[in-house]
Amino acid sequence: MTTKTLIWPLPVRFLHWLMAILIFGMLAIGFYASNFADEAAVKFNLLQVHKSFGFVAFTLALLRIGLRLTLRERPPLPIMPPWQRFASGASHLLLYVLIVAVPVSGWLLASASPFNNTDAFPFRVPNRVFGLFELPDPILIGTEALESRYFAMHLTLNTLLVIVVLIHIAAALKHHFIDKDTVLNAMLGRRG
Amino acid sequence: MRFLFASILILFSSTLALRAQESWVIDHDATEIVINVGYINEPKLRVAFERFTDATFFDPARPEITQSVIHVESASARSGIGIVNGLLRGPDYLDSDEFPFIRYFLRELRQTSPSTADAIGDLTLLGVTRPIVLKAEVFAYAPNAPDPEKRIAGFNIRGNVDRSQFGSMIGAGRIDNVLPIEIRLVFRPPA
Repeated sequence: MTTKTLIWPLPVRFLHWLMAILIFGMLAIGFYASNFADEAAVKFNLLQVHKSFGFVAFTLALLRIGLRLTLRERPPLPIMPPWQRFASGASHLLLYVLIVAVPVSGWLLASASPFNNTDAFPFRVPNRVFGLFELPDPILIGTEALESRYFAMHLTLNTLLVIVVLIHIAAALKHHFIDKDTVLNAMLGRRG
Repeated sequence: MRFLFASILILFSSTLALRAQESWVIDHDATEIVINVGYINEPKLRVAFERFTDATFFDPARPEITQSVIHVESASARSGIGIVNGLLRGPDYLDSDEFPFIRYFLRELRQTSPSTADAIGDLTLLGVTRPIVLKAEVFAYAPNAPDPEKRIAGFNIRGNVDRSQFGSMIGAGRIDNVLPIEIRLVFRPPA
């Protein structure tokens, strides 16, 4: 084993921490906008930011999965009981599924909104990414019923994501502070 | 006869001068005029008007004789949402090309308690004038101990505007007809 493979390559680490920031930021914005924004302008502007960063998160998630699949060398896993190895694999798989599914469900939710219809009243809210371009509209005619359904889906997936992320963090801290292995250091870029 | 006319004129002018001297002025920077628009299942849209002109008489010693005519520029309506601003000012809502001003005439401030009053007046919106009674409450009156140089009289004025009475019917059922209005009116002594 060379020292090079003791830490994750820079692009993997960069994407990992960037995704972490995005996930927490998106959760905070989405939660606040949905539950506490008591002014239409605040809610509207936060949700536009949320949707734009959602697109970024989706793109980065695809990049991260692509990178993960093509990566030849990776830091060695510490010795773990089989159940931990299984739990680690399963939670990582679930995490990868969720980092794609959550933004996709958000995209469907935005598209299912009646405000996204061409004849929306009093104005149409296009799903624009930072005002630069408009996302395709998979649901041409949105209704409140459809919007509610996709909102429930988005909320469920986000709840699941929070749970998996918390498990992920707890496991990383356990590896670092209890098992005293190199799992967290490998992602922090610290050798040894 | 000529002497009598001149005397009346002098008396009238001096009265006006006295009134002008006594009157405080509206502090445009501290004053806010806001209408809250409700849309089903959404938080209220706060529409603030950024520009207005006024002709006001306000004497803090005699607030009951306060009068003010405020012309609010309808094109200065801002909601905080870019696409909504254009819509608000457009022909379906405030129609600022056709009706560049919303006029509020405060005819009388009728005291209802030591710190509250009814602001009785008329509102002209979309070319239609209707009487309107708003509730005024003092939120600031100074000079005060921390800053004796600072003199201010501030009122929070609240009430409702029923837009349907002014002929605005668009989106009825989805956009509220009764729109809460909030005016934070701040007077200062003339400079």
